[in-house]
Amino acid sequence: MSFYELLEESSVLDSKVFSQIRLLLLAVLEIHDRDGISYRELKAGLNVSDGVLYFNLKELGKMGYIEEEQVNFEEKKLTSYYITEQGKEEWNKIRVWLSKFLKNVGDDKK
Amino acid sequence: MNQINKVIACLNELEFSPDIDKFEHRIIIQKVIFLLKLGGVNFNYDFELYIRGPYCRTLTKDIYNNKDDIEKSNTDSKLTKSEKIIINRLKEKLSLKPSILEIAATYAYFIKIEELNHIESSNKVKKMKHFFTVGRIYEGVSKVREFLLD
Repeated sequence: MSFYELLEESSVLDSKVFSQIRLLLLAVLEIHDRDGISYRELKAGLNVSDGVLYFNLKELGKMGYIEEEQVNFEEKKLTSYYITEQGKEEWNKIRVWLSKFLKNVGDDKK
Repeated sequence: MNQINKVIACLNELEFSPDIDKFEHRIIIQKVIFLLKLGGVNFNYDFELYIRGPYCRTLTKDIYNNKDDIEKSNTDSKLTKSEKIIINRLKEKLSLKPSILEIAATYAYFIKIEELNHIESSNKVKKMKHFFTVGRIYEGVSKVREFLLD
């Protein structure tokens, strides 16, 4: 695939997802799928501030890519996050495109 | 099917009846199977280190695909005598408390899979699981050392 075709293909991707934190969130949530991941685990694992994490989770939720649920953990209530089917589709599109992109512009092209 | 049958047999031996809809119970299964594998019970599940610690995506799929059998404890898998000894050792040394199992499994991953020393492994657990108290982390680490290393 030519670089030009890659550029054209990028127009089908949701550009609002293209930030490091949002890509990481989708990747992590896709790995854990229906098991979900709690807010505190995301905060510790991604090493981000509450403000950044909360804002980006809300934004991904508004886009329909993730949803939240209250769960019990040793008598505590935690907020857990899950990727939606729509989120999985978008993440898959991005993953496939990024893989093609890196093949096209990566070190092995030099 | 054989692998998940064996998982069910292990859970039965632990006298643990999971409700797969419960977040805590799914954590318990993942961590228990990982620790049993390290302890010497043969499983084909491959665990990788993710945000929650060691985690196997195939096991998660098997759990959801066999939810009824797991919840009804249906299995025809028979454990060997040595497997039962390992399971009962885990039952004796570690509680089925999800926080303890999370800490224990994560520490075990560092010390057994990544072959880090005790200090490095403990520090990595403290960083990954800083939302648990120091006392809880100490408890999880001590218990898993008794299970796997003593």
